[in-house]
Amino acid sequence: MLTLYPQRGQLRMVLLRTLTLLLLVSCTFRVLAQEDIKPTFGVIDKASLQMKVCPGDSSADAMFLYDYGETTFGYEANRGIFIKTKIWARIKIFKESGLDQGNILLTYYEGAKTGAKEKLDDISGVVYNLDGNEIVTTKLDQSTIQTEKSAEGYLTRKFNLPNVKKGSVIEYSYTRFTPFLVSATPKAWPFQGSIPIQWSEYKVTIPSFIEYHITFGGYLPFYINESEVVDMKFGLKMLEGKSTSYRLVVKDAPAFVNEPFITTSDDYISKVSFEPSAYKIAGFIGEEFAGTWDQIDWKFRKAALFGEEINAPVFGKEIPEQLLDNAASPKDKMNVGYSYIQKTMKWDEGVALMPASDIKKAYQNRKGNSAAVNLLLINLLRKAGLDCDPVVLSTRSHGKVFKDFPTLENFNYVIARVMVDSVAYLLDATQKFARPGVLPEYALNGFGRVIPKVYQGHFIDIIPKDANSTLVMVDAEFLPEDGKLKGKYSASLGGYEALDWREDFASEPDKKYLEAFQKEFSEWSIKNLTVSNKTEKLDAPVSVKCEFETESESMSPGTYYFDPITAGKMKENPLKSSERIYPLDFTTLVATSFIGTFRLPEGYFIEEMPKAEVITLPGNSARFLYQAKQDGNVIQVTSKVSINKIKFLPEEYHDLKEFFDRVVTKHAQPLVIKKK
Amino acid sequence: MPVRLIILLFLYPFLAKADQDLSVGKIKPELLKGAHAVIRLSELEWEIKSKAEGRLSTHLIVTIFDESGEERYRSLYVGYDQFTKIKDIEGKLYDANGKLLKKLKTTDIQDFGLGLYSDAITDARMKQAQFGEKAFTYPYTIEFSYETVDRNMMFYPKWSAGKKEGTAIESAIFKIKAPEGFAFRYKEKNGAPPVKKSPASGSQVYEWSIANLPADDQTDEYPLPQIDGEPLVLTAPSDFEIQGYQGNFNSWEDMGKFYYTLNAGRDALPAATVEEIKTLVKNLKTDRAKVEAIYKWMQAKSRYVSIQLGIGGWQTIDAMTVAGKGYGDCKALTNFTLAALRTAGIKCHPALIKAGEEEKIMADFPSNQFNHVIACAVLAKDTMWLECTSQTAKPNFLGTFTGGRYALLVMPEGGKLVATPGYKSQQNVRSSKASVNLEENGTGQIEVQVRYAGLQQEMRQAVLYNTTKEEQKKWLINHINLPSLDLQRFELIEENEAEPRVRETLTMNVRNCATKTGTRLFVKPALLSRTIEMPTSSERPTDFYLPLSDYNFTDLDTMAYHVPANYKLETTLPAVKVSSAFGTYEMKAVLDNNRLVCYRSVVMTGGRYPSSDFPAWVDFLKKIRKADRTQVVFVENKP
Repeated sequence: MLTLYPQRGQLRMVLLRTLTLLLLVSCTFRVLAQEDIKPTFGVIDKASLQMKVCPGDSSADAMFLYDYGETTFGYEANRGIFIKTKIWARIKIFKESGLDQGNILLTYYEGAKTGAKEKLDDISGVVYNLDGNEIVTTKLDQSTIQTEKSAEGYLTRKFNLPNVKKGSVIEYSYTRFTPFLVSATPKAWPFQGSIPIQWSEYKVTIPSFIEYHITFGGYLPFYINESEVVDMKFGLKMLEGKSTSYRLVVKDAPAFVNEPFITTSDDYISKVSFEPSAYKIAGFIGEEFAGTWDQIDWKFRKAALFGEEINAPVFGKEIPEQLLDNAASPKDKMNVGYSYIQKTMKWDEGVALMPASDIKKAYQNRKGNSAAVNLLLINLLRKAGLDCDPVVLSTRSHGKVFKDFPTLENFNYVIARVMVDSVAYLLDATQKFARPGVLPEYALNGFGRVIPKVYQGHFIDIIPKDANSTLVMVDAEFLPEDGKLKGKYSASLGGYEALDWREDFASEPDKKYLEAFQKEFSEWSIKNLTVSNKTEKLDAPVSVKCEFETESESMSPGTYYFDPITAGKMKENPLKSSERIYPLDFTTLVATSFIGTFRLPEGYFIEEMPKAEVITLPGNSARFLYQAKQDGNVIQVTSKVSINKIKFLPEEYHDLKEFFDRVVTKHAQPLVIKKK
Repeated sequence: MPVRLIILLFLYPFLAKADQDLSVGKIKPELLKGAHAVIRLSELEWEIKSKAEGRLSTHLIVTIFDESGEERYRSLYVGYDQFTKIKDIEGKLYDANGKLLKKLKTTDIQDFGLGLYSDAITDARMKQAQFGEKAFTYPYTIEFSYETVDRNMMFYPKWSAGKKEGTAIESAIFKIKAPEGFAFRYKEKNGAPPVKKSPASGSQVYEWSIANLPADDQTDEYPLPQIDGEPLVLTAPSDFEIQGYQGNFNSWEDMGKFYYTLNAGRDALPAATVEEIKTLVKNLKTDRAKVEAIYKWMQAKSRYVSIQLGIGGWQTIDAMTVAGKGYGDCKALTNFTLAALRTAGIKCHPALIKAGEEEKIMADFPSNQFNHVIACAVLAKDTMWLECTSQTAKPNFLGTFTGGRYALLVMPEGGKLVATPGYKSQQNVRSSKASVNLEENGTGQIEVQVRYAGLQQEMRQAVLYNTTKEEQKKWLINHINLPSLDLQRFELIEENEAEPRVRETLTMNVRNCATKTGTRLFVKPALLSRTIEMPTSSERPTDFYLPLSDYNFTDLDTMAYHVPANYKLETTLPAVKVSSAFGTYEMKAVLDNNRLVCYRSVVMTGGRYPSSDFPAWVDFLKKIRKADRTQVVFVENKP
């Protein structure tokens, strides 16, 4: 991860690779004697048309030969300050499935007044084909461009480029004008996409009156990274001054392929993105967006839909009496208040940092987004006299928080923190089935920032309180002659397993879970499946019990094979790829245990039993314990798999893959039983 | 082709009965069982004004008991386009006692274009109505009513009278009001209630109704195709008019005539294109070769784009435009292909069809049940079918998308229903040959070649043509059912044959290929075979359907294991044969020195089976799965 912070024509670069932090200070640098590409719109080389497969990925269906974006700023009296971005794409089509690249749709914002309308201009398109040795050029027919009113406030322009075939090169360009009223931030530029990009170039000239934090994400190196100071003309004196112009090129970016166990592809894709940090227009606008975390904390405290809401009078006499009872313990108060908001408020599934309108309204509606629900919780708990503060965070799909860049935009979610006898509890009342202290998985993204009533906020680690834990016990009788296994199954689903179960089945008829259970154990005949503690005690596991019977075929007279891991067997390695370039993130810790007790009838003995095994990864980050032992005619087999760390580095991937391979091997091993 | 935007779930209209007591207590207890919601009243009234205009009124009252019911019914969606105008949407919300709590406001209604998230060019739009931000205490009751005025009279509504999963129905009514003597057609299917007719002043009223239907609490694992399973009332026009075009759907012949007239004279090609085609077929001897050449030429020259415009999506863009732009929707590309075939002197017609897996039309009820069009070339001895929206399909291969069903051949003299070729188990073959070199620790080096034909090659073909090498590898790794593997080499290629066939060659190193415990090696004969899922219940009150696209297949697997020399066989070798009404299964193995060769074959036949056969089906699957779990055990030869 590479980050860059422009300040007065100077670049300060921060190289951030997962856990290592490296600082470099440099001015403009340039790799000399390198290949540079400056194509001309409407002119194509024959080699591009003759190309048959994508170099480096022989089965890519299409590839950007050239993907270019250029952002500048402008000013017009009726439109105000605007961002102007020219987009120019040149794409080679290799396969039939790539033909869709010729269908373009561009959505833009259609505000009410001129200063709030986006504009798309200068759409042009060309398609090149090779006919024998001749280059045939077909232009986009402007009359085929359709404009659709897509949703409230948005228009979509759609066009299909003509004569796009296997082998074609297509090219299109357009310019987007975005007034500051619509957005004052250039859109992030991805250097990587779903198809390979041979040359991705982004140019941006940032005027002196505005400052952005510029962030580079992803794992691809820059081929060109240049900046220079230029004069920018606006036709308006106060906007003018020394501007900084950047040129960034990434060469030969492979298609981005999603991997399992990641937070969000946005955290891994190579891109450059912008966050406004300050306006500096003399005598006109002079707003600092952010500078320090202190300022951010202050903003949260003062925000009408945040700090002010937390202390607004919302609740009346309807709240549980215990909350205002001085005799009640703080912990009881917390539990009662949490449960009151959980039960009273319906979460509308909206994820937000701030409520849509004041929380009193949400309370009256009994419904609101995540911020409304959790700010109500904080408000209530403070009213009850508890030490309770908001904690802002970024959900997994929203991506990483950049601690180096203090902005509000880092965050998209808020939860509550209560201190009881100097123990911190993190609460999220949007979750109907979470016990106090358990956060939903999507909110587990490393850390959050506490915004206290006064003075300084600080970052805290958000460590999931619960693991994803399961304990399965099987107590059964093995009848070798007919290959029958008959007995009792019980499972205790704890932590996030319990939360998941409750979310999936707590409000469904019993039949639904029986179906799901039968699907999981499709070879079993199941009797008396019961589930207890569905929702009664959220801090205790969900418990599942049943009786079962199953049979297997035995094919050698006098010798019997018996597969002891009858439930919760790891049948395949969850890590499939042989290599990994991104870190892994398991969201929570994992603990899965199995204890099987099997009884044999008289007259048999165990000829062979799997050996015990203990595997521990460095730092005990993962651990596997396996043991099979015999006591008379009783065999006990235990297996315990635990993942004791949430984030793994790509360098640890091979160890982890090997770890799971060993578990799979062990879990497949049968016992051999013979007749005496 | 047009997507008709009447949301069938809500196809019930409006005859306001403001005085109905909507309190939850009025619901019969038997309707509450397993219900997330109860439809108190659902009325759909289709008033035919003339052959050119109709009015559809919908009135829906639903009591919602929980989140899942709310999920299903809290929003009303009404589609419209240039032919359909929506008149006022009204809504009311009542508490459990039937007391009015809220009325729908204009700000509660949102409007959006259906082309919003796709590159399809369409004028179809949607309105969504929903009662604001507030959470309401369960149970509560919502009432929606609205009208649409329709000027696309090719389509009349369809009404479903079946049980719904999780929703009970107190009363549902479908009414058609037509001018006296006005002819239209209807048909009740699959046990739908019979019509009741009553005269009104100057008009005739037809009414179908159902009442007190409890919620369906069973997830149907083998549902019949909709037109065979669900009680339905289908309706269709006799004479109709759309944008000045007259037509009638009294017979398939008439329907064909209408489509022909609508699209006639749009097949002229530019002179240069005509020349190109003539040169292309000049030296070709047979008509078949000409069709193949033109089809290939068209595939290389054009691409499919979705354009849902023009007489409700039923009139094609002319061939001249397609020749110039190189793109079109299914009508346009078919029309263009037909124009090219005619240039080469081939007799050919468009064929209207209902595309999609397991989709079929009701052959005994002429009406517009189609959503797609393909080309049919009529040769001296047989016909050739061409899917014109694909750039990779082989001529005359229709597959799961359009194979094995009726299509309406559109000829100048009228339409005719003809069957497209279907695909039998013997054609849909997956055959694999693997050789495995087994090491003592259970690791196996596997070389396998799998050939896919018929419907079984479709998935492979899609992966082959639509994904990158990296994605192909990922897809394969995720679809090879092995505990862990290192895929060292792979190749997916389409074989050069008339019928589409895909060949997959894999080289992989597999840990735990055989399970090693102490001195034994457990070898699985069915290691690379596909497993068949078991149903979760073993009883079934109604007929069941095994979709032909999934269950008409033949799997032939051969695996040759080379077992380490110092191991000897401990078990007997499997020899299992099972046959049933659904197909046959066989598994056997032979040992020759240290070479264990395992054969497995499954021939399955899909289709509709009576409920009485269900236990036999479960039993058949159990036997197959049990045989597939068989392991052949070798034990170390201790000196």
